[in-house]
Amino acid sequence: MNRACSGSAVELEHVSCYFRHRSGELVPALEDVSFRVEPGQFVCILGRSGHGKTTLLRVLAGLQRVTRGRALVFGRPIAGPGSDRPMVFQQDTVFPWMHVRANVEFALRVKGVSKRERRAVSDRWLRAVGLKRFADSWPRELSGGMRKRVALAAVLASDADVWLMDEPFGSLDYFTRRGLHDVLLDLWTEAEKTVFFVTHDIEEALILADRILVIRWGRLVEDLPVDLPRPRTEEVRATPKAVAVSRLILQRLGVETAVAEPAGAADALEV
Amino acid sequence: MRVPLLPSLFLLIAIGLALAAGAAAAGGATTAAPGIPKATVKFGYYPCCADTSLPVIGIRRGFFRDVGITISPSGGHQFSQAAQFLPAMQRGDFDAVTAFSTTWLSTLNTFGMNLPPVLLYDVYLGRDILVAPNSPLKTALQYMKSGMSYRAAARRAVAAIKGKTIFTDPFAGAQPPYYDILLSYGGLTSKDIKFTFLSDEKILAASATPGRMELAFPLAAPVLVAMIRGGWRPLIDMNSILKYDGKSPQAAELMKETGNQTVMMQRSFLEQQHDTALRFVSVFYRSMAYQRNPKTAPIANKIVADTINAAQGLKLIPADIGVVYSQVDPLFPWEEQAKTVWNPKSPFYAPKGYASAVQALIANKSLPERSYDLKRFLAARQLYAEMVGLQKQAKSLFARTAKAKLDSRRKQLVAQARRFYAWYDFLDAVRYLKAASS
Amino acid sequence: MEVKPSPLAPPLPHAWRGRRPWAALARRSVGPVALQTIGFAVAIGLWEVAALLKPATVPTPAAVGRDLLDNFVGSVYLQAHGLGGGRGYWYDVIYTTRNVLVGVGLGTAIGVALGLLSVPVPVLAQVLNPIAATFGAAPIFVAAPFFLVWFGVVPTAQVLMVAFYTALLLYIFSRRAADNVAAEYLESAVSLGAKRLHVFRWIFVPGTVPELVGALRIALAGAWGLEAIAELLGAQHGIGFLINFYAEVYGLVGMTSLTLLLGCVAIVCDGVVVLASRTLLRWTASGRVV
Repeated sequence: MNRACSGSAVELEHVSCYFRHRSGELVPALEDVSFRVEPGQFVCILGRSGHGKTTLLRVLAGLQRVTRGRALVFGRPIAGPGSDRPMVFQQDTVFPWMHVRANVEFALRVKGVSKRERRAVSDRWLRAVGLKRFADSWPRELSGGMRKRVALAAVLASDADVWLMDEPFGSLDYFTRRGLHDVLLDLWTEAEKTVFFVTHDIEEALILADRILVIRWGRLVEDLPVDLPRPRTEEVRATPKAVAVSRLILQRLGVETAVAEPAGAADALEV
Repeated sequence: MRVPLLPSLFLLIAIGLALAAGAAAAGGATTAAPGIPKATVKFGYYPCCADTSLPVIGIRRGFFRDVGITISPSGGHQFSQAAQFLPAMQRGDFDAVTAFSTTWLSTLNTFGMNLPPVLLYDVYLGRDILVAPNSPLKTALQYMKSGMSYRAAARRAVAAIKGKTIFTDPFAGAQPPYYDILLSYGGLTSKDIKFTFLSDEKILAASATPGRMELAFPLAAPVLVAMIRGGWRPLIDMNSILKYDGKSPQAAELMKETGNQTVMMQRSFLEQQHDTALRFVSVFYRSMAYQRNPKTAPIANKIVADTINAAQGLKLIPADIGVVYSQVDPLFPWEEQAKTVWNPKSPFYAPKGYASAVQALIANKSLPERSYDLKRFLAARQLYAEMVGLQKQAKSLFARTAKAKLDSRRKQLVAQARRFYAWYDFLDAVRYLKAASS
Repeated sequence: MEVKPSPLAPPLPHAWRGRRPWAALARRSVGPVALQTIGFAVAIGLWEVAALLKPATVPTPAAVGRDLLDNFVGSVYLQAHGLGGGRGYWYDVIYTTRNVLVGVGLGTAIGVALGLLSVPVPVLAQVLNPIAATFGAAPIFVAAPFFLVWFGVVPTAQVLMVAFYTALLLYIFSRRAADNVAAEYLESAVSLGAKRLHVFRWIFVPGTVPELVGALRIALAGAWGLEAIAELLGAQHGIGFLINFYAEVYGLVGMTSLTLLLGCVAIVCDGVVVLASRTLLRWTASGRVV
């Protein structure tokens, strides 16, 4: 499902990032990556560990400089971190020395928003993630999944147009992750923001994404629209079209698929 | 019947030889020198003052060697701080040290009884409040010159320092608060004065800077003398009190609580090596005599001045030491012991002074209240009495040997005895005289 | 771990079967407070034995207790020796405590401020690190005579020495604590729009508190000894000054009393820091310092 918006939200033009190894060798983390994302799209960046997914996300976040190319957000070059592109990290980054509410209000406090307004916003998003009654709790009193929801709420409360998420549910168990998928999708649907979500889990990408960018060895090897109906239930994910998407991703990632294609799978993908 | 000649001759020769041998043997047994047994004494001292450093005269001039004593370590151990000698003696690190009497009386209830003084050889009269050269304050003696009596002059002088600051070594207070006695002339107590505590050498250093301090009460005689030489004036001093106001309650109080420089010795050493202890003490008398002799006084004073200067960083001259030994810290050589520390009528009578000091310590809770065997503690008295007895014995033996006809060997022994006698080593004088007259 | 009883041993009571009987007894009938009291009593007992064996060098607990009672509020002994004007040990305890707390407070403020600021301002670190390394390597006690020379016998000398020592320690610990703040927190903050000042105030400062409280306790522990030594060199009052005085007269009882007093005050002050830190650190898992 595509959102109708004019102008691209994020645009990368031949972006490359190189790191200098201690041996002196230049190691490419990203090579010649280009894509354009429309506002309101849910984009998953998928690939194996160490192939540049997080580097790509950090470029978008402004936490990583590009060696070559351009990265733009709503037409403006990305020069550094900004509250227009907050990130949910893989690690637990909820500030333990602030109550849950203070964490959620952090971006607003930075902007100088008044206490009353901050409270109203934090109430709204805490309710949205189901943590309203834990507003005055310390993060240590919450479970891992609950803290992830706090991190989500903090990003949502910032009212940014682009959300960046680096395997945010990677350390959680399957069931908690599934629950958080629903929460995230509900919030995205309501807020109509552009989301970049890094994952190495194909199933997760199928559940969440409008579009999947497949990264291999720092290169964008596939830019795959996912034209499946939402919600992406198990039945939807078992359809030939969905299976074809999975197989294509696997092929692009260099994984041999020994199982024969189901009937009609080749026609299912409109490349 | 004819007696054979040859056998008779042989007999006579044999008898003659036997008699000669017997005479030689007998002569050798009675005229051999008794010798001085070698002994080592572990000795330490704190080279702050002229009195503690007196034995250095004996060390440098070889007086200890003359009586067979080797000082260990060589030259004597120098303590770097005043408080070190007592724990060292308590641990048994040394056989003898020089120590001021009041510094260990408060240990009489524990180990102090086992560290008796075996010689009392001076009294400290240096309780002076000094005033800076550039201060407008006048001294008691200055007021006296305008015709006042000493008491009136002292009252004027002392009353003027109410509320002022006196720099003093806090250890000065470890002994009875002499400054309270001095301050009482002006109707003051230590509560009317601000005390700034500094060690003596820091007081001396600071006194050289004009305006740094106005009043000082140093602990040690060399510092006192050096400051006086630097222009500081005694606002009120102990010597003047004793001289001009000797019958006052202050004078009585000062004399009651004053202390002696002593030789402190391990009781076990005194008992087990008694003869060595006597010889050791004799060297102190000899050193005092050496210092008192006008011909040798400059040498003695220089030895002591150099010792203190090297250890304390002072700049004393030999004349300063002379002043100390004669006025501030007067010595009690052998000839003066009988009329001072062992004379019941003397204000320096030691048993009375020590008894008063112990009473004062009980009163201020430094010692628990009970009786203390001061007679046993003051081993110096027994030792002095023993030396007096030996001296008399030596005199008697000198008289006897003077009348006797002595061979050269015995005359040599008598001459050696005279030498020992001159050195106050009456024990060996008697031994050699006995050897000469036996 | 369940301990199987020997087949030869008599059968245990039912409640103790499978468990060590003495451990169960301790758990049930002797609480932690009682155990601490026992420990304290054992320590006193050992002290008493030592005093019996070495009466010349170890004062008895009773003598020390009597000395404290006699001299804490007012002291005839000190007055007789020209010290304190009749005031008891309390005056010198307050003198020492005041110097330590002021010095530690001053040093903490300076050390923490410089340490935390040196992370976002690298030039500061480049200037201060060599100084900290040099003075940190040398034992601070050797600086005591210098402070006496520069500042004299006034309390300022002791306070500044304690402050210097504390500032050095807290600078080093602050830098380490700032370095230990997880990079993810910093990145998360900037990605939410935080600027340098926000990061310093809301991330560095609170994030370093657990380590800094630990450092503060270390500094405080060392400051008592440092203050006592500084007082030996020229103070007019203080526990160190009195201990030195007692040392001159072989006053072991007084020395012991004052050392115990110093220890008690140090324990109380540390306890106050721990209590205060529980409020500051209530957000941590254990509420304890790092």
